[in-house]
Amino acid sequence: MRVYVEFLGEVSKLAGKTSLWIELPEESTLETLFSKIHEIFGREVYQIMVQKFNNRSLFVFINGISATSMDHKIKNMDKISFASLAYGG
Amino acid sequence: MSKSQELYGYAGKILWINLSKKEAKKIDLDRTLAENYIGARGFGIKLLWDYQRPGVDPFSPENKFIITLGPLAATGAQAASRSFAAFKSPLTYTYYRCTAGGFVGAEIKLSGYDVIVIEGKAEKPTYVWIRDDEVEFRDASHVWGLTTDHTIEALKEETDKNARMFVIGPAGERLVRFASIQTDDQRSFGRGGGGAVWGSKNLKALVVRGTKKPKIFDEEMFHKLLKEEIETFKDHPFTKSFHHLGTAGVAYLFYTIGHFPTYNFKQLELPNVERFKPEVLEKYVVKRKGCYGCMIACWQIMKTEKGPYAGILWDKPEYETLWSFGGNLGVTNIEGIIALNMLCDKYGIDTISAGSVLGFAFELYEKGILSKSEVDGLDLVWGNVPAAMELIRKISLREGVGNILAEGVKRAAEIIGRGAERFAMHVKGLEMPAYDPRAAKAHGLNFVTSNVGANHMIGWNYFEILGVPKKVDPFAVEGKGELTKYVQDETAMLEAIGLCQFPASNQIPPLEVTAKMLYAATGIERFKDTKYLFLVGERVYNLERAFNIREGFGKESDTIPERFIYEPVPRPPAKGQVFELDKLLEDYYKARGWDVKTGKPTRKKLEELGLTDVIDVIRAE
Repeated sequence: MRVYVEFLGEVSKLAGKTSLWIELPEESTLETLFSKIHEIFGREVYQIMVQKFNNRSLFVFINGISATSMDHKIKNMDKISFASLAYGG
Repeated sequence: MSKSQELYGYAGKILWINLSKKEAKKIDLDRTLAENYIGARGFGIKLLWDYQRPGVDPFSPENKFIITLGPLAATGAQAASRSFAAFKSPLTYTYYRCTAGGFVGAEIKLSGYDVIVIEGKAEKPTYVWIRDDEVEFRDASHVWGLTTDHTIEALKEETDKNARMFVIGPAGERLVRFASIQTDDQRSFGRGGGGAVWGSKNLKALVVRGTKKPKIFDEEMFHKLLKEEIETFKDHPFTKSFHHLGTAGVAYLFYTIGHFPTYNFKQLELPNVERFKPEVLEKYVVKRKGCYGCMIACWQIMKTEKGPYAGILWDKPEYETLWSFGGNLGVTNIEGIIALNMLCDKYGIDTISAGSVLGFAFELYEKGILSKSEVDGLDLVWGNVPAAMELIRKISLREGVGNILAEGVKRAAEIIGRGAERFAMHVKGLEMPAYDPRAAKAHGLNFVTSNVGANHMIGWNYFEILGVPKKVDPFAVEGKGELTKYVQDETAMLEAIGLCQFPASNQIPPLEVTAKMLYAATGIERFKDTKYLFLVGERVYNLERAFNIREGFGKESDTIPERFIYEPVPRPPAKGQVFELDKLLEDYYKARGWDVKTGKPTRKKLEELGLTDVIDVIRAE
């Protein structure tokens, strides 16, 4: 299956990209996607992103819904947004 | 006076200005007031409750405008020098609180005041020039009618180039009900019509220069904590992220999570919404600055270099303004939004209410409720930036249809009639901000129950919106009363301390550190206890509620436009969601310990909060 991934703000600088399509196996979870990020962007980017995700300074939204667990299931054509710590006002 | 009785951290004085009498009294700050309300937002509501007669018209000389600071202001503590204002709003007729960043708050504290109360009405346009103990009432006839930026230049020239100030623009002078008060560094007391209250008092500006410093109770402990606080700011990812693009960085993200509502909350998909992505917005940033004593420095100065709005160098539109003139009007022209933002700052009007009023007018035009001739020949079609620019000018100067829209959406709808009220998006008269209540139920419940109307900064629900520190389903109804109460009380507590919400609600620094700093600065034992600080937050919130009840507001005013109750959201992720008002509200009253039938705090709750003097006034049971 294919998912659309976008990196917003500071995360796009870390990844060096603002968006891309990623191929994932069926029954993938957020953990699978992070592994794919490791493959595409390398160990350092992967480690920083996982660390930030775990300490809640990197937000992941799947089709606009906050995903806070690595077990979050991913479906074909999902839109997955990665954003740095944010606040609206 | 023994050291335990002396007031540390605080400046120790209230400056009480009567414009009618050209009188400025200096009154000692009461220690009990400090212990019970901490400062800033706490002082504002307590003084308004004690000294303002119920039923006063917001434009009456009797309406008091109270500027307050927290005990950590101008002490070196980070993000702790914001100024706060309390007054009765001409837009909502409720209590109102504003908060502004910049440098003027610290300057007031350095002049020797924790509070400035302004009452009365000057005989002619006036500005007040404060230099430490000296207070001068000066003629402002020569700057009356000038935009805020020109007024600032002129008054710096004739007072002190390093002076700091609050000023109003032509909109405040003309009593536009959502007129703002601007600072000399493009911050503002934005919402609720404080600028119109100043206009009604013939007060053009308050100019301040101070040279004093607050005394600290335990200097050694305070500086040790200050170092600890600075480390938490330095290391936190929020600091870097917020420095980069501030609130503007979330515009696109929030659209994708169901906020950044479009077309006056019709919530249709917005073509070209990608224009609000951070990588597009950051191209306009040419400089970054920040408030007094804050290392985050979240102001970004933007520059436009092409198109019809080329040549602007101005503070960036915040998330709310990108929405109010962007998604709300179907506009994706960023240069146009930068221009509209600047225009509002110069005329002195709130960008959130202004954009909401425009969205209301655009929808009435679309629905045929307002004809082209009724809107002075303007073509108010979605996305029309030049029409929006002209309408802002007309509102600010109260020309033509602008004179009706200057009343805000609630009153404008009553004047227009013909079903216009269905498209007036407000709570208690305050126009809605950039969040859809259907897409975050506790956040929506905050709008419904907020003591100032639909204000997003009275209870910004990070649990629902971002899923921190714990994820909460934004569409669920259950448990939202308690969640709303928690965030509202926390916000009231942080603002009673005088803190900026951005770092503080991200636990930068942790509240325990702030509590220790409060003690080290003031010597007040109770401030060490974070539970006590939360109690003060709840006390402040309940006293604000009591003020509104005393003004005649009750359960019936805790409501929301019917669009949110009956029209399901048409776009994901909140597709199909409505706002379940009755169920949510009942849950909230229960969580608050308020009477579910009347919406009043109960006798028991008021006793628990030490507000026994309020019981009889509001006839609590």
